[in-house]
Amino acid sequence: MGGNVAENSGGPHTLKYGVTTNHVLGLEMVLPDGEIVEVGGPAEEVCGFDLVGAVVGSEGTTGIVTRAVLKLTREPQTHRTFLAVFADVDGATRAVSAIIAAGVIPGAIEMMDQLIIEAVEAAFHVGLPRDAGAVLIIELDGLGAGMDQRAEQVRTIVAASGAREVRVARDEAERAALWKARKRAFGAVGRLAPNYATQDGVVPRTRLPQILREIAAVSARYQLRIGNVFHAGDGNIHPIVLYDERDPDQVQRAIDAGRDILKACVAMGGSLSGEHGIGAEKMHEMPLLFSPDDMRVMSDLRLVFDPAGRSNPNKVIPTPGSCVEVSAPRRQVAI
Amino acid sequence: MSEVKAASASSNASDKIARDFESLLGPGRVRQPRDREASALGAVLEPENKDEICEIVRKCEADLIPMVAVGAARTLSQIRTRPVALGVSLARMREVIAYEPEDMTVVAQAGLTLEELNKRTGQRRQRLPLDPPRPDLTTLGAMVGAAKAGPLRLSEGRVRDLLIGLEFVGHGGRVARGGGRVVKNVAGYDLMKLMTGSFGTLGIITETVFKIRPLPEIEELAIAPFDAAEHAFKAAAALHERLPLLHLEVLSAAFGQQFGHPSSWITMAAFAGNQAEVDYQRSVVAEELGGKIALITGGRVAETSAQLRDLELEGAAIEAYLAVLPAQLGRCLASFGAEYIAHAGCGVARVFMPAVEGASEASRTVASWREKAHQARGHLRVTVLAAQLRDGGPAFFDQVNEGAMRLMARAKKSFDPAGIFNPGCFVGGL
Repeated sequence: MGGNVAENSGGPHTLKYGVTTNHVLGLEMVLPDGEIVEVGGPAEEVCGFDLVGAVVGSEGTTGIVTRAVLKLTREPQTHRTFLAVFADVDGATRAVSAIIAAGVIPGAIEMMDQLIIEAVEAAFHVGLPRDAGAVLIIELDGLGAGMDQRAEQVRTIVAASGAREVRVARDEAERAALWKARKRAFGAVGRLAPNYATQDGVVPRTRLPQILREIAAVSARYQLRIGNVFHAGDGNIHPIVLYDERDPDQVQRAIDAGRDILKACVAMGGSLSGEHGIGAEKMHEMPLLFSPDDMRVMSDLRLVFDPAGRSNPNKVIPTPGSCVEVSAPRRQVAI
Repeated sequence: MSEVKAASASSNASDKIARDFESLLGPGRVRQPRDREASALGAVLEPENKDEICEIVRKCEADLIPMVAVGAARTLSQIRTRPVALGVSLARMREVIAYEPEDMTVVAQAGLTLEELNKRTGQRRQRLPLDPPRPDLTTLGAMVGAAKAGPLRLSEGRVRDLLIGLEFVGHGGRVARGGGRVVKNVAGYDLMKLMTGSFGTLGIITETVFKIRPLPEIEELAIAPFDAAEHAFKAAAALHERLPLLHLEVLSAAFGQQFGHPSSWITMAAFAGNQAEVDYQRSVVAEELGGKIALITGGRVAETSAQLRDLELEGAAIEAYLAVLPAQLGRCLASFGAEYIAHAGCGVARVFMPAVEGASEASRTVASWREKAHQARGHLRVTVLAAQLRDGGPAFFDQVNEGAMRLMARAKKSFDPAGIFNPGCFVGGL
């Protein structure tokens, strides 16, 4: 829970249900001076400044969270999970926009491109079509009544966007298999290259086709294979750059490729990170998004909790003393 | 903060401030406060852009002039004990900067009203699903600043859940931005949360970015009368357990008449979806609410929802916002001896006391409410206090624990070292 709070974590179901901060009502934390404080509380209304909101996602720079009061959400009555198969990523991204434009908010819309499909199939044999250019996992959830109509609506939209096949999970086991394929994608990628680095940029949903084209161009430019498995409904991409750390040249190209992709996200009106955080790795890209005044005000907020700058120092906001040389891509796992 | 000119709201001082700012902004941009503004503000400025707001902030910091951003001045006029010297109205800053229906995001200046925004998004069958009373008078800046919400908070969340980016002018006349225009974003510290509900004490919000939602396909509203509050809450809890309702209210007997049931407690449940979803929910609602249910459908839903949203107890001496653990809301309210509009699924209620004798009785009433709220693990904020009750009356904000208060005081000092932003009426006297 502490990690979720620190990173304001997301995942596949944030499209409908929001990220961590939308579910945290109160926190107990130890401030960097050793004082224990409680902020927020169990009631669903803030009294005074929303300190909970300031701490969630602060990446450990405001103190150590020791307890969280969370708001729970009832499990939906039912789910309907689809696998939609496309010849290319463009068709898949068109389908994402069309679903949202129709006023349907699925529980999740996840995309995997061909490289990832291949890797998952080679590793786990879950029955994904190996010749597909991209697949979407679309999950509707809600009341049992009306689900058939909603499912038909989505099926029609997806077909109209050019899906060559739409499969529906017939039971809980098939649904679990689809999600297993999605969630094990990162593990499967380990078979393709000795190392991989994942980025976590965000673009407005409608810019997904452009950013995926840009990623393909970056892949060609740096001569590195890049797979894509990501939260399409949120526009939160996870390009996986494959490389071999024994080759210093490849390491440098992997770092540069990641930076180029993030720059492209920002240029399209997006962000450096949807859920993994800034840390040290992306700190020096922060000026792409924020002005010196923006960052100064953010630093002021951090100093409210940690005037001496002791808690996870030199992260998130670049300062003159925080020159961190990124010498290797961060080998993070994304869900 | 004590250095801020206490007498600056007196009429001579106001005249001088007005003249000073007229020379800064040009003629016609400084005006006398109108109607309800008069109890909250000494003079009103109408800047046309954020650069002018930066200038205003710099001058106010240099001359130690207290100031605050205002929309329709309703929040402020109901809680300020003394006027602030200067109100900064964003009436001339009400543009929709970018509306992206396919991305379901909207960027708008803070002076735009919620009603104006939703007129625009409604053309694409979308809305910013926040429904505080009187959206025609609620600017986006005021809604964020006072963290205003309404019945839809149950299903759609609050300002803190929908605000994805923000720009404000703070200390030094510096413009700061947080967040962005994408729906999922963890880059940088969450300035949106900090500013939401800060009641103008940290700066002036100039621009807001929201994620928006589709309008429901079909929406219906069920109204059922009960002869006791306990039964109304019990029915509400049973419904909340079974259905993902759009909103769920319990109204005390004073409000029954407005929905055709004088002297009855009312449970009101709204549900939405496609035809089959609505049919199913209607049957569950009928089962749980019993035979006396009135069903509102079609074009009357919007009208009745607006009536619920804008409900007021006319002339109430005290209005307060109560937040407790949801399961304890009914019991807590029963012990208050007051009228209420309860957002039953959220543990939140607007509480009204029709009349009290004087300031000290108002203080005693609020103190007893607060004691009960604390027992139910929550707190209570006074939102409206009749003018004659404010001197010697109750504090508007409830207390927070010492540790949290120290952090809040540090935040205020750091963001507003000169103490000019709406001083003296926030939590702990900040």
